[in-house]
Amino acid sequence: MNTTISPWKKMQTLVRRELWEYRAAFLLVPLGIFILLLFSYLAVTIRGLFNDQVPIVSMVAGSRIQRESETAADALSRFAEAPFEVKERFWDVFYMESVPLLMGTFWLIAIYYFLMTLYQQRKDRSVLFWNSLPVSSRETVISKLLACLIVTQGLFLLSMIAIQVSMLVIMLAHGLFFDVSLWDTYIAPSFFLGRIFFLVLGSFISAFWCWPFYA
Amino acid sequence: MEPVIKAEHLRKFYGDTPAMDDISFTVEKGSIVGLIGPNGAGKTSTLKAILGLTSFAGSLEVLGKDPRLNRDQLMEEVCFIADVGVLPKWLRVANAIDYIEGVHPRFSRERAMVLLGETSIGMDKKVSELSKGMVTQLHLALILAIDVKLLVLDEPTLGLDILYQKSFFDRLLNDYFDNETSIIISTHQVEEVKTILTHLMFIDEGKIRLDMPMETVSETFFEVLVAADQRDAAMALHPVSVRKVLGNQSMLFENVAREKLQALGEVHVPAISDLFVAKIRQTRGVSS
Repeated sequence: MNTTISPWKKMQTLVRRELWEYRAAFLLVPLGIFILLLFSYLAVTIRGLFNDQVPIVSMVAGSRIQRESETAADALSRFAEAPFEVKERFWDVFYMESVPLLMGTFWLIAIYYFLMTLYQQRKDRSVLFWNSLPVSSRETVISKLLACLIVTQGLFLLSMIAIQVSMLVIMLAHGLFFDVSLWDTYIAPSFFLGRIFFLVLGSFISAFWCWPFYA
Repeated sequence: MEPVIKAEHLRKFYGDTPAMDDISFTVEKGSIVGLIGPNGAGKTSTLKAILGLTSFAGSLEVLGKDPRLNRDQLMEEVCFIADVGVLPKWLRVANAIDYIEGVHPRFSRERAMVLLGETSIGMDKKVSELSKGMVTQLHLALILAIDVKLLVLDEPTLGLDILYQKSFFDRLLNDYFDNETSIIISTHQVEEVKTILTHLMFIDEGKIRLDMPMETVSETFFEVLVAADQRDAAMALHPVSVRKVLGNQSMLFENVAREKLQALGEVHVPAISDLFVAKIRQTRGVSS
């Protein structure tokens, strides 16, 4: 039998409890979106190889690499010789396309979670069970904030990073079929590590900025 | 010896309706107290006050702590079952054990596993997949694996069939209770718990109407099936209640010597439910 429980272990248990309860929203949704995006990019890339097209499906006007009646090889050669800033701007748009879907989904889940979590416990009367254990209201509230804003946001962030790494790998694999410098065309202008750093920083700044709203 | 619960002049009102109207009582270590009252009598408010789950006026010490100020520390030594149907439906059995082990310093995983091993409940099952009886067994196993000083039960077997009610209270008494633990039970099923109680407390309209050890109850209250020719003599002893039973009159007396009553008819200790009805009617001024 335990004699003492450290506050750290207790908080871990409380956060795990939230992840058990909201497993689908917190764990399966980011994983599902990651798999969906991954297969979409893979499908577009494989299809492009068969149709002699550069598999860029940017939604931003003017950011397509390939012109009409141009081969994929010609389009990539032209793109490889473009100024660095042009390539940098192109990859910036390309990689950021995955962010709104994941971030938007996270915010929807966060709003749903904060509206429902305490209400749900009262509705199904399980609050009587949770209240029968030595956990203070303050610990409960902190664990809910941590579960959503740190752990779940972290998992969504991980999905964003994973999908961007996957996109880079897919594009590099595609580039191997053509006579262009992978470094100058794909890696250097995409400013990849810096992008990931700002993504992490931006996510957590926005999370903390929203704390008063959650309160 | 310091009592486990010491309540003095507790007061709580919902509008004009009293939930606790200047009530005082103590619960001693090792006692099992039955808190009996009609709906809206103030039972749940009293238990919530003991658990620090509601505001109130007056002085209350539970295991030497004020539950209003030290609820989470108090809950390390107090366990509480509101009713056995409150386990969250999404919770898996294994998760429930992990959770309680992670937050309760007095929980024994080994004991919980032994208790659950005696049932057919699978560790990977969700509460929603268990029958009501199994949920009861699960909740009880989780609670029995916690070594606490005070157990508070608020209508714990509400909605359970008689088999599970009996098994719940048998298990509670055989596997849980020792002279170190105190239990306070609020229930309507008074006859079901009477054999395990050491103290009886009646509450009505926010006031304690009876507070007495069970052994004193059996020395204080007698029910007499009064012979027809003894009716006037019996009425002269001011019975608490009079009711007709199969054409005869059954009278309930308080603080009248058993020897004196034996001359009136057959004497026995009243059922708790009859005593409860008689005392509540008496204090409400309802003629019997």
